[in-house]
Amino acid sequence: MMVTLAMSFRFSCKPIYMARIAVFVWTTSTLVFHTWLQSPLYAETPERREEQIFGDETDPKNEKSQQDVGVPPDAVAPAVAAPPFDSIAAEKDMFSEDSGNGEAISRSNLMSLGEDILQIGGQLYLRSAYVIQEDAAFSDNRFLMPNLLDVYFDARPNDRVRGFVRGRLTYDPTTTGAATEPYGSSHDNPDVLLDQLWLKFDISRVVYATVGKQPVKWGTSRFWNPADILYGQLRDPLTLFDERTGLSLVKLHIPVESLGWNFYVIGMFDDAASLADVGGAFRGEFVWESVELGVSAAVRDGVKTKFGVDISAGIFDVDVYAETTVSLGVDKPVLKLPEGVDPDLVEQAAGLIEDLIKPPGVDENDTVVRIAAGLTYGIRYSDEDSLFLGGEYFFNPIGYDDKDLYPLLYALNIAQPLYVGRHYGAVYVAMPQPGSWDDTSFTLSAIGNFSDFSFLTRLDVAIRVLTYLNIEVYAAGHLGAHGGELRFGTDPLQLPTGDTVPAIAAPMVDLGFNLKLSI
Amino acid sequence: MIRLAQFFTAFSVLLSWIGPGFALSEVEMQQMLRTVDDRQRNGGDYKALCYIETKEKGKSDVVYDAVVYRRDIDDKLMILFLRPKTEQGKGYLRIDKNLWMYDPTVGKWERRTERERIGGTDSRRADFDESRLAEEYTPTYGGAEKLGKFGVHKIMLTAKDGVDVAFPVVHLWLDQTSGNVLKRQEFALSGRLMRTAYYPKWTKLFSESKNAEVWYPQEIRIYDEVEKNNSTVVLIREVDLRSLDANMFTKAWLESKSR
Repeated sequence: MMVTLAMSFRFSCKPIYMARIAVFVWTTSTLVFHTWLQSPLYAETPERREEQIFGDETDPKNEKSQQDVGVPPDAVAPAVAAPPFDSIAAEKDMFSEDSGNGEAISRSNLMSLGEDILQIGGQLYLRSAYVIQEDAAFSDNRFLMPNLLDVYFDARPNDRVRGFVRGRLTYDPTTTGAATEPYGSSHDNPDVLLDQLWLKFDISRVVYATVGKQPVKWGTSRFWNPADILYGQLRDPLTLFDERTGLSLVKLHIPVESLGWNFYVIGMFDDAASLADVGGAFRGEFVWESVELGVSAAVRDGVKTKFGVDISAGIFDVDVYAETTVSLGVDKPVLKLPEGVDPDLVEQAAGLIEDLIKPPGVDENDTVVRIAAGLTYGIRYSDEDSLFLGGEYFFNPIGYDDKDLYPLLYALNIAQPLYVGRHYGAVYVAMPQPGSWDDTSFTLSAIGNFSDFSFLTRLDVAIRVLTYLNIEVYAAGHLGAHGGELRFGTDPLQLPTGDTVPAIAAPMVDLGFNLKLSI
Repeated sequence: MIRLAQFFTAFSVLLSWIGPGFALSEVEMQQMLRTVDDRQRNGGDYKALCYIETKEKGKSDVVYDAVVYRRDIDDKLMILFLRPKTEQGKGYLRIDKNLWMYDPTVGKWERRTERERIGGTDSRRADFDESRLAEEYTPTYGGAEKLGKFGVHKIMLTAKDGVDVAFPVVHLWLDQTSGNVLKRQEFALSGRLMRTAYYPKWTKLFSESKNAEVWYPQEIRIYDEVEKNNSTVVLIREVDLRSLDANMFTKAWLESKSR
């Protein structure tokens, strides 16, 4: 052993081998040192970080400039905004030996030359849902994939003029031909809709006009929005995405920035075949301290006049909100035909149907006040995470006290989800990005129709993966009274027209999986 | 022994007065904070193009392009995201004590707190707004230190009662020569270090409304001290102090720029 070691030492002491060893050691150590420099262990230490940013005090080669941090103040070059014109400085800048550093035309203005004023984009929203129904075999449960593609064209020739078009394609591959709702209403599949089509410009930067089909959302509540008085159809609180298409409006917006106030004057043109059919609306928004107040009104021939008030305020960690609408009468429902029902028969039976579906004790000329109110309380449970507890109540005096009329309402497609009953309530817990799960959010909610005592509990999980892909997963359970709004099912039903619509099984559990990508 | 103690005491007092690291009085610290605030305050309007780069462990880096608008005289602030396309139209609006966030994908405004991570990055509202250190915090002196080649004063700040700030405790390292902030550490109420930010580049430009120069950091490097591998760099470019259009700081204006 000793002999072997001695021989190898003599062998390795030869100059050529010594040189090779030196090269090997140098190369290896350089590689190791370089790898260490690149490693997070080295780069992430605060000391190293500060040395990189502010220079090493002991390293005379470090050229970290005192000017960078503001020393001396006079030595710093001027930036973009021009000071008062100084001809000497300007001539020096243009004609001195070191001229050419300044930009005669700003970079953003130069870049704007290369920008196309038209942008094209959209959203791809692939949705799938599985509904486990009562008394149904597992294989017979309902499966649907109401996929959706929004595509927009957005033209901005300058910052005062803008044109926008957005179309929507819906497609459900689980059905062929027309897509059919539970009670038989149908629409084309695939179907194409015009969501938005508007032009926007300003008049002397005082009045801001938006003309065309455009989305409008008024109100502050999370679940129920009675103050959203321009839309005939209120948003379904259970949907993750507002599928309502825009309204045809001429909207004039007059802001008073010094006060934080906004005023809107609106002309409504949907279904306006003559000037008499054109509706009008007004809204004022006022901010004071941490309180925001909105007041609105809408008038239109053939539709009851409505007034709305909404308010929100931040009080410490609690957000309080409320909204109400006052309607000078009850609008007649627009009857929609189930699949296969003779339109003439429905027209003949319309009066009978309206009498049948009228909520007890409600007269067409009654003034109706609908109120929604709620609060959200943010609780910090760690240094950087909060959970939010919320509750909301909705009073709907033109709703139904019991569930007996629901089958007819659903058969005629006039039941608006979560606006059928008289009393509603909801509670929820939201945990956005808990702990190190920065791309995941959880929301557990429970909604109840206290008029028929049916309930729905739902867990929503939203996850962002691969930077841009959003995944939404949910599971919901239907509880409470059979036949109630949130656990609705019925036997075959005979309409006043003589037609029969088939039975529908009540849902027990909903499972959903959605993929969303902005394109 | 007593003489020795007396000597050290006298020597310490002398050092505290003649050395660059002498302790600052509260009045001097307040004056320094006011100077930091005043130098960054414009008094008129402010517009800047910001590039925000976020790095998170296990994810591809994302760069955002946003415009920051300020009307300092009314304490109004607006941040509008321009790129990437997936974030285009997202925005924040601060009016009085309200901070709202607009998400164009759902078309809804929501109230946010001072702790809101702007656009999901490590930045906060205060990183883009005018400096209000003297108004919001009470200082105590932490000593004279070296930060690389720079001599700095370390000042520890505690939020005043009733003031809503993102972090109740802040440690500042101010350049002894220029008075500019070079480093900032922010702590939760529990004392846990949450963020470390560095301000390696400062510059200034002339403001007609202020009739003086306005200073701003060209670069802010923010390190998440909780998620150790996450960091954000904010580059502030093309600062423009000319008057902005009237009636800009409204929800409707920001909505009109989104989809």
